[in-house]
Amino acid sequence: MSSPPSFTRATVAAEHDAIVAWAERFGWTVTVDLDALVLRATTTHPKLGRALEVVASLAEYPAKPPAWRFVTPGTDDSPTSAWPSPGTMGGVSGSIFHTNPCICAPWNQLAYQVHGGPHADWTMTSWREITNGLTKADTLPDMLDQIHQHLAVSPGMQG
Amino acid sequence: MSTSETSEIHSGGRGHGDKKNIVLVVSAPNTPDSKHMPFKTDLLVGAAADEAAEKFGYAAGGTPSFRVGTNVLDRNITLADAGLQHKDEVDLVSAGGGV
Repeated sequence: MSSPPSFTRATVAAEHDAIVAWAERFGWTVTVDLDALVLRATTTHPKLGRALEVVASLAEYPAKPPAWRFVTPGTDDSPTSAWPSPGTMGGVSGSIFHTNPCICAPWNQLAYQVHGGPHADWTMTSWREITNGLTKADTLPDMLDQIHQHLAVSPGMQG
Repeated sequence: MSTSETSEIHSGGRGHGDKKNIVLVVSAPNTPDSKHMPFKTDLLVGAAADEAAEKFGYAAGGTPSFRVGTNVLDRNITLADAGLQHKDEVDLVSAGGGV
């Protein structure tokens, strides 16, 4: 199953107002390139004050989840040093920031083993149905919010 | 940002709800506008968040909770025990973890 680019663009466009409202509420800068189907979001690390950028490839969204990765701001390079380290918070069982490095969540294509992630036990085309107490984010602003939430308790960077 | 009011049980300011009922101003990532939602203060955070998630159109099956600032509330305590008061602003979030 896959989403044709026109369907992906329509889905992302339908989420645009919520993305803008979310970004304004939390002080992030988010841009969406509907031609390239790429979302780029920038913020600063809350503990370090250092600029961070996370990029999502939206090809085949929502049939498949986006591919999220932290990059060196302004580039497409994704060295370990671009990734925030995992922290802990009450009420949440574990961080989504995996040290391989990866955003380890069913809503990230790169968490699946077929894309180099740790999970052979998840079915990508059923990504919205994977629960069991795991982080759940069915829309792009929900995914950004989960990144924001886990970033709030990140003690530093991985590299 | 404007807000939509699904219900209003008190017209006073923050802290003017009675001891058993409060209205929370709930924001969710999937919707630009917040909603005013009434809850009983003895309701568990998880049950209230489940209700809110349904109103915001989220599919069942997640573990929603409320976040106040950066603090994600324990789903297993009551709204009163969480210290929530009338007209408090909360974010509806997933409390599920990573792996």
